[in-house]
Amino acid sequence: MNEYAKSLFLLLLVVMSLFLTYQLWYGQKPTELTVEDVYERVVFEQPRPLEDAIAPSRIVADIDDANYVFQKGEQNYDDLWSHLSSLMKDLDKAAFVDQSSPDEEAVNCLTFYFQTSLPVGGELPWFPETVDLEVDKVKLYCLVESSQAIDNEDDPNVQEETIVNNLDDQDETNEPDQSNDKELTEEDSEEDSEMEDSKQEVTKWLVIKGSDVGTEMSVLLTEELTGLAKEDLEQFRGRLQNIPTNDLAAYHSLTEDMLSEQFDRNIQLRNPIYIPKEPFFINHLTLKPEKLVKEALLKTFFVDYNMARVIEERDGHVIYTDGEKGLRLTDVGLEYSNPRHEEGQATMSYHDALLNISNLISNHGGWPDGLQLKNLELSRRAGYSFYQAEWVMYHEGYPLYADHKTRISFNDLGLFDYTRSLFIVENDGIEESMVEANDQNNVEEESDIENEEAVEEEEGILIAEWNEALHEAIKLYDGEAALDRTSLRLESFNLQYVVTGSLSFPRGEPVWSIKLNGKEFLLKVGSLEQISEEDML
Amino acid sequence: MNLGRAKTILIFAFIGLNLFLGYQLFWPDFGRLTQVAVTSEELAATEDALNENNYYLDTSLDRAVQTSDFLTVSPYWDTKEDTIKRFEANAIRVDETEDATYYNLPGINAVAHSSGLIQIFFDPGLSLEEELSDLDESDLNDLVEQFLSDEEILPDGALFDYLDREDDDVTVLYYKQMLEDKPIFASQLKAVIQANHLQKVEIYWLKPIERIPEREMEVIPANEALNNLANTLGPSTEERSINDIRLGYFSGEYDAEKWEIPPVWRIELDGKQHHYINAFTGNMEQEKTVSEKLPDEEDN
Repeated sequence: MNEYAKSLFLLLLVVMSLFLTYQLWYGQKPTELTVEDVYERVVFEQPRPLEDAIAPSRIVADIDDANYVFQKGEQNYDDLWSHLSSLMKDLDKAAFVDQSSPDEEAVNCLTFYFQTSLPVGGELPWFPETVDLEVDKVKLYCLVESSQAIDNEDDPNVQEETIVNNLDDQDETNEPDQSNDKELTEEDSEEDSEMEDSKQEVTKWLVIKGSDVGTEMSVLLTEELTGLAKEDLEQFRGRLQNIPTNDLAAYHSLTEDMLSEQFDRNIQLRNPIYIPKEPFFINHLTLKPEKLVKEALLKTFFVDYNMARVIEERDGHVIYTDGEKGLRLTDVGLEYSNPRHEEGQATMSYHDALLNISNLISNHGGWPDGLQLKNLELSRRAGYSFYQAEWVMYHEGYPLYADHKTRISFNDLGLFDYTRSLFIVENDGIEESMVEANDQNNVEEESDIENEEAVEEEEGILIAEWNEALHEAIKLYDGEAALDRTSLRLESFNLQYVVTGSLSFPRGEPVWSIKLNGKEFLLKVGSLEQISEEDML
Repeated sequence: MNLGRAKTILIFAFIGLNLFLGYQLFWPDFGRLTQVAVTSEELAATEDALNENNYYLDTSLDRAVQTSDFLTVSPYWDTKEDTIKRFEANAIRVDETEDATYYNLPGINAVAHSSGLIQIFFDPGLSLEEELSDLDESDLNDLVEQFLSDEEILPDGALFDYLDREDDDVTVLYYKQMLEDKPIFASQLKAVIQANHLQKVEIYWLKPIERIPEREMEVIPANEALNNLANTLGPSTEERSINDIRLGYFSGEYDAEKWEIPPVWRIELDGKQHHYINAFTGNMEQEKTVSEKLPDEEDN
């Protein structure tokens, strides 16, 4: 009996040891480890290098007495900026030693505008080891030269001679225009024609304008001075001379004289404004809100997102907060704030701030294609300083604005304010509308009105003339009693998209954006009906 | 070989093995029972740091390791509706804005905020007894609690929290909501007595929906909460007494459907001022602010 009890007890102990071993191996973890409280670094995407973080706000080309405006999302824009960026990276610092201003005869054939100043010099990628500068504008000047002159351009003596000869040629060529009485013989025409064939517009000077008034540097683009390989320089020039303009809308620069002719009042211009020469068709866009992975996003804002608690608002939006910072996720984006970080200073350099914003937006949601940095400014409020950066989405050269801006505010303490609302283009409205129209065809007979609408969508919307749009904006401006009417300043005048519609069917509405004395008016491109912020998503 | 002897040896070997495995398996919990979150040295260091900043610890600390979780709550609409019904039935004038509904009865103005907060103003105040200043804390509480119960204003489960004599003339009694063993500091009933009259009652009551055990975590020790408080408030110009520190739930007031509230260490300074340190993150929680204005005052 005693042995039998011993055996049973031993068996019990063996079973218990097996159970305990199993529990130890596979059993529950202690309480403090039941949640994932280990900091996990989540990165939506790698931060962009400086070269990809900053780009011109627009590029304006002067071709055959017409301007062509290129913005983010167009092939020409990417190519031109890529070529200029490469040139500026490779340019020898010696090129700046003997600065050569463009000749009077030279034409400003291409201008790169930087709304966010481009830092150059020092250890930066552009113009390395030269003077530190924040560039607002890069201009390229072209000169008409003969093929022989181009071939000999590397010889400064020959070059000078060629320029003089060219000027003589030009004078001769201009003579018939100045004297209408003189008739050209057939022979003369042929000669001129041959001369035209041998002439070529060549990019000769690169002029950099800094953000500080009066800061300007110019470089004569020759193989000797720039230190560039002849092939590279030729390739650069070749690209600039062969900008395809087929199917592109031509623009012209608005002047105060043009405004005086159209409007019976004095309207000042502060910035260069380009408007389409002729009306053209533009389509609606079918959009969808950007979808961010919630868990990943939370991990980027909270060291341990298990510490963050959830607040479900009555409108269905959700707030995550750890009592110090808060993240609100809405149907159209996010809002983040960390009030304690507001009370700090921004002492970092502009260059470091640029790198910082690239890190911030890349880590907190990512930097999708088409998104461009619009501006980066150092601001002050209540004794505290901070940097504020704003981005805008572009589609085929037009900016797409949502009601909430995609904007980041930060200082040395870190990020303290961030709003993000981005919409992705699914397809142009035209395709959607056509599909809808075809579906209707199969189901029921289309009415005449529906047909007309389908045709309108197929062709797009014909934009109103610029003067009609400006007239409407001025009328709206004058209708607002609180605004100053003594002087009128036209600050911007652009074609863009704004996000309208419903959450289930957001769409990009093409509008004229006209800013008068700081007040922006959004008018539908066709009907010139005003769109208010309440209409936007 | 003696089989019986072999069995005995094996029994002892397995007992030893099982003891070892059991210790390894249950060590964290054993440790928690025996381990303290705050050692004597740490407590002394905290007291020194507090004293340097002119804060003095006049209470004992719970030095054991503690765990807690988040609590999901929503405004206690039942309390609000019950109270509102009484006013709606008798109200002479009802005003409504986006954020609040206003009721006027003879001698009573009531405001029901969309957040769930109810404010009842007695004008002129209700006389509870001829001379209240002679009553001690317990008697005054009994008197007020009895009145609130009789008037069906006191929510179920309300428990007297503390009393604050703002000056000789004004006394405020605070009642808290309890969830099992832990107070919900975010819920509160506040009764204001001035010149021997009950002038105002504010009720903000929450409905506990669920605790979230899967997010149960170890909370920061009490001394760490005290250190964080001193760091956040900075040195005090005059001596401040720390009268009480206890664990509960607290969050700001939200105009929301439901939300999670974290565990906090509530630290009482000078018997009347309370600060809330998030027991998970160690950050100070923002205190709620309540508008005391009536509609007419807002219009003006």
